[in-house]
Amino acid sequence: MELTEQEFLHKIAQHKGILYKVSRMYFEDATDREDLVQEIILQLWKSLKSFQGKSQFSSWMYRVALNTAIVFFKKEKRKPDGYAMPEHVQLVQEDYSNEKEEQLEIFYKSVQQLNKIEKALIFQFIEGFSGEEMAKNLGMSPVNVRVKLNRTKKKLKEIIKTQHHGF
Amino acid sequence: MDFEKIKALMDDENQDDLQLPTSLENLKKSQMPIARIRKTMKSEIAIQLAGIVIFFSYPFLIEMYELPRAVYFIFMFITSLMTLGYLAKMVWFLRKTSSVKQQTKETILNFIHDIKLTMEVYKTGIIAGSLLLPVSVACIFMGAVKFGEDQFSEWFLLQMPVSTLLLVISGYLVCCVIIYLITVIWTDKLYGVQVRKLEEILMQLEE
Repeated sequence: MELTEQEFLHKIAQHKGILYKVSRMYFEDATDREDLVQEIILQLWKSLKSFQGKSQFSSWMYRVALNTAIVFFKKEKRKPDGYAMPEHVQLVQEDYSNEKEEQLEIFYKSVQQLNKIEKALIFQFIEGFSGEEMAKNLGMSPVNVRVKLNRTKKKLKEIIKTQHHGF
Repeated sequence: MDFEKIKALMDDENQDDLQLPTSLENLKKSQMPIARIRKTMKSEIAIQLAGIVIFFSYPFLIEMYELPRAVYFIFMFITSLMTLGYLAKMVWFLRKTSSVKQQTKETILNFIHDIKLTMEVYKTGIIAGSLLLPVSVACIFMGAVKFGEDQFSEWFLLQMPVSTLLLVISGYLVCCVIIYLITVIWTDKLYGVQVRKLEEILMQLEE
């Protein structure tokens, strides 16, 4: 697909939500999220020529964004991305303006304990991707996706439950 | 936990704190393992090409006898050909791996395969080239006019006592082992760390 830089940035802005949600899934730290978003935009721009327009722009954007997030590693000097979040983290002590915000925050914090592939599976599941689409995006077999996804959902529920944040 | 509810909450979340760039020029340099390996490789290509030029120029900066100079150039020519061989392989790799666009597994698998192939060519080239280097270095030192032409000829034609010859061979073999170890450690330090990160992701996909 041929787009000028400004057209490309405009198109990205239209699907800003994808960038926001993927970065939220993968990193807790705001600077890490910012770095990841920049990296995704860079990769989207570099891969733009390979986008034939056969699928929707948003589907292609999801794929590149997830692939980039999976192979992206934050700068070493910063603290870990929360994968090894200490047990009994007092999430509920944080001050949330409402219950919905608190639930979402707990979800994002709990997701940080999943590995990169598990995050990708949960994210795609929430976004409504079919098993076939997830398998195609990640390069896994549909059976493997189904097994892994069920395992990951169970794991995530367990994380939330054990930390007394079940909702 | 209700995932539908989570989806609705995610969609409704205020995304104003995400600032998109107004120009691609403002973007930071890529930090992905793939990009880091590419960056290291580009620097290495530039350094090695500069090295070839320096090695070829050096005999013109010092006074040398003709025979050691000729031997030096022959060995440097062979070494340079080997170097250019793996540099060409690196350029092939750089062209092949410029962006992330395929499936996750395919991207990682292809990258790991290509980087490992390139690294094997690189290691073989470096080791083979480095094994010729002691002769070139000896040419530079013993071929300089202050040493005397005979001294170089005797050394080059192996006209020396057996004990000295054994010592030279042993020294050369020790050099070979050291060169091999340094090359392996150096390659791992430059590229291995990033490759292991990608292999870890691959394991998560397969387990």
